[in-house]
Amino acid sequence: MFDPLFIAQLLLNGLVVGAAYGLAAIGLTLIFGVLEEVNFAHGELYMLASYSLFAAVSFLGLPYGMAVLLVLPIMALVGFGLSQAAILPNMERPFEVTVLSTLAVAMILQSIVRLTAGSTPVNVDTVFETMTFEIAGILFFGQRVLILIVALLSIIAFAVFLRYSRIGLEMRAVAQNRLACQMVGIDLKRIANWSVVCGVVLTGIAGVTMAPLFDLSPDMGVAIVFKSFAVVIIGGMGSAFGAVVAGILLGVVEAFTTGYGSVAVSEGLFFIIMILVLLIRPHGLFGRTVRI
Amino acid sequence: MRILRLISVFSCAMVLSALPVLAADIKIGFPGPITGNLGFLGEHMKWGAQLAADEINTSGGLLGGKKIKIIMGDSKCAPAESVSVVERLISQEKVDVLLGDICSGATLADMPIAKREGRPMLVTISSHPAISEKSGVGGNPWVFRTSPTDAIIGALGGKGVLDQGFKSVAFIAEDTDYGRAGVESMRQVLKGKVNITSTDFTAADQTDFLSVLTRLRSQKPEAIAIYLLDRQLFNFMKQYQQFKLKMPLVGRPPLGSGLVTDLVNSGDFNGSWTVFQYLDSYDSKENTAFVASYKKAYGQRPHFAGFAMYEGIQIIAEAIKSAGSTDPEKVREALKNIKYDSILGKIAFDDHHQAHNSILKMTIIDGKLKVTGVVGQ
Amino acid sequence: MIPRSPYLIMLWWPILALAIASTGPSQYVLHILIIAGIYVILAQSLHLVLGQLGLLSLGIPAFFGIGAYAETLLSVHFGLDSLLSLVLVAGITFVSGLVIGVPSLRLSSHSFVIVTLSFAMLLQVIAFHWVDVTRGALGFPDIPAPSVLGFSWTDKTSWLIAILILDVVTFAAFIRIKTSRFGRALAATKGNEDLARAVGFSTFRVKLLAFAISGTLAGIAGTAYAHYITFIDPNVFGFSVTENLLIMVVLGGSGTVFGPMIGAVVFTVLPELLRFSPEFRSLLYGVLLLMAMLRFPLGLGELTSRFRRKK
Repeated sequence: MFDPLFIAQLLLNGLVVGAAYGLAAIGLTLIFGVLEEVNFAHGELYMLASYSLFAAVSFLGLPYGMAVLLVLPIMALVGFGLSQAAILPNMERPFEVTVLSTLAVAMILQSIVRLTAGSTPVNVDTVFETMTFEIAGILFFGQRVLILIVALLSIIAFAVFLRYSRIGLEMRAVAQNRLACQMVGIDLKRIANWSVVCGVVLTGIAGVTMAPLFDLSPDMGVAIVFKSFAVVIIGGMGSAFGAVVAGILLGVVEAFTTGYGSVAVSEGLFFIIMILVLLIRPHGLFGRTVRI
Repeated sequence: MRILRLISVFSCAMVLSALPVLAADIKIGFPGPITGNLGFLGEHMKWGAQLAADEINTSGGLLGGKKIKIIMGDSKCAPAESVSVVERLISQEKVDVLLGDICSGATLADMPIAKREGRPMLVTISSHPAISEKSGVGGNPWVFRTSPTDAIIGALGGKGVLDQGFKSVAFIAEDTDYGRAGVESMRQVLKGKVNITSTDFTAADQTDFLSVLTRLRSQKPEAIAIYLLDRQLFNFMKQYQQFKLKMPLVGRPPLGSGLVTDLVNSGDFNGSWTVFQYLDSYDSKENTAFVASYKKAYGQRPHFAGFAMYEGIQIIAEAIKSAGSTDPEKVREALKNIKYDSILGKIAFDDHHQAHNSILKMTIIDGKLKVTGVVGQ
Repeated sequence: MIPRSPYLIMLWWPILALAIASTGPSQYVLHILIIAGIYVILAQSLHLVLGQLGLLSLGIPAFFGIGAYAETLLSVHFGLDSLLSLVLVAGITFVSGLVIGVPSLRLSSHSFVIVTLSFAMLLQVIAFHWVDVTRGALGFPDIPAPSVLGFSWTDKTSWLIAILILDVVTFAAFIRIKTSRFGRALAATKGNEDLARAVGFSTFRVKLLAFAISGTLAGIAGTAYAHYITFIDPNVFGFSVTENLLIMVVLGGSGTVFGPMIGAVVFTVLPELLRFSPEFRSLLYGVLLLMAMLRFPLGLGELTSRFRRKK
């Protein structure tokens, strides 16, 4: 079973699946890095974006690209709402309060989607799904490659934004030393709003690109949340690059253990690796200040 | 102030939940997954049960005009929650008859309650062999089951594999009591005769089969035996399509589920087959009528969970009629001796309170799922 | 802070429960009271780390599950007297607490949250796949009734009494700990860790001990759960217990000693009352929780004055 084709395919699988894990975690790590708040609504936000995409495609009849353009501003609004309801009021309180508040938002979102869309799973089809290329015996799946591209673009956009925009600068500053920022007059509320909105939009990007891969159901966010936490911890709080690297690392390990062993082994690996990384490098692979 | 707030919420809720229920109703209750991974199956359970109740109620009700009331509680398919639901159904809602949960683990946990409280429980979907082993003679006298057991289905699946002369098979199943029991019974039949290339137990909410499919593509078993539920099958088939694999899916994939209809119609799965206790396109006058009313009422074609509950309610109604009352002991005796004309055959219970209704074998031919065999038990 | 003897005050719960039980309630009501009793112990477990130490541990299910499985295996394979196995399980979960605590407590508070959560998830995966020992997804049905010094029971009234006794014992131990030297060390650690260390005692050991005791409490709750529900499967390691616990402890008032206990009872009963419309129940619960967090974060009592430490 050391067929080079098999190995190459597993490697590619790991890469694309891992990029997806990383992409899904970027939004979480941003909020984590700048505000030091754990957003337990992360999974449900991802789910909301996916369902919004479904609604745009199925009920409004929009093509994939246009549907995405419609969903992202909606996610920005939702992000603003989340910031107002669960993050801003709790910034000066112990972070467990935010954990519970975001958990409450998660429950609310899941219930609303279940009540409006029903429990029957739905799915979104895009043109990328039908594209499967075979190059030198290795299969490339259209949608998955798209995810990889989007993940890479997201890191770049993230880096550019942080580096060259005023808000980005302020976000980095707040991540480093919140107290000092307040002393020099940075409006914490504004930064918090921006961070949460950006984080939620990024999560939304993950949702719309990944939604077509599998079916959608109101409880799909739950699985995302735990894996995203693992990715964020391993990659390092606040580092989008770290998130994608960590995601790919986990994806590749998962692919090989499943490919050679069975699914059983790979499931526990996420957590084992995270625990090991935390023991050796408590701040994750790429540290904790907000940068690329 | 917080305390006051909580107290007022409490009181409102207590008052609301104590609202009087019509004493003249006949109450039939059951646990099922409303929230959680299997929520959509729970939805079909409710629909099927409600459709049967509505039909009976509009045609005059039972025992001189009494109406059937269906009460479903959210068990999330978890045994501890299911137990809570059943306790509540009996003590608070005062149901006359119970039905089982979907997941065997939950049903098994509920069975002792039926015995302790003395209420008949009709299991219509759970398939774990232990349920009938523990019922009837030498066991729980209150529990009856219409659904076939995993042992029977697994054996049929295995036989189908042998009949087609496959030399190698890969197993993919969900990591639950359902998946493991099913694989075990198929494995018993295939041991020594067929090469089992790999066995994967996937988490029940797993959606990504990329690496498993990669391995299958490399190992090339002649068939893939599947013990997954609808959602996982959908994801599996979708990714399978992208891999452009050709080997048939056999065993017990829920090919009849509404979730995978489009995939079935695509023509990429011709030759795949499954063994199931119901298919919505089964051609018979009664079934066509049933499917039409189901679709009219709920907008979807019936899932086998809906069908199972529909017939379950009908069977209970028959038993109540023949018992002439809702007295639990009389209903239980009536169930023991019942002979019910199911859409698929005759239902009667053996000494372990297990029915032996027909099982359908269905194959995908030219993009359409067709019944290709009816196996009486 | 607490004017009267806490040992007397804590009796409100057993007295209330027994009062309800003596009115001849339905099996369902007894069931809810017993579950509340189990959650009372779990709430203490979380309170010990969250309220007394200010650490959000999401790993309670890890110990709850270890307790449940250990007790089940001891009971099914060895048929030990339940008092004996309870002591053994307490020991096992205590050691597990040390094992999990040592790496986890060195981390920043955010990482701590996620690592403790991950340990629970990891144990769940192990429980699913170590089929030879845990029977995997099939779980353990028909767990035998407990047998304490030859005396056994299965009916709910006896169970309620047993749980109440367990509640009283663990809560008394809890109060004892809080008023002991160790308890003061805990308070010092929580109040200002650097100062505490400067004064000279090992805050790490204090935290570790508290974490391990918390684990033991959760493990004890697990043993009761296993015998009562008579069925366990890997889902005992799942997150839903944590969700309930967080609501109980935080809304109950994690700064106070009795807050979590009240929270446990209230929030076991409340969802049952809301069962009348399951679809809306989750939504309502989430809204209530969010509103409560917005308007009444003082449910957290002393926690609001805690310094937020950066590491």
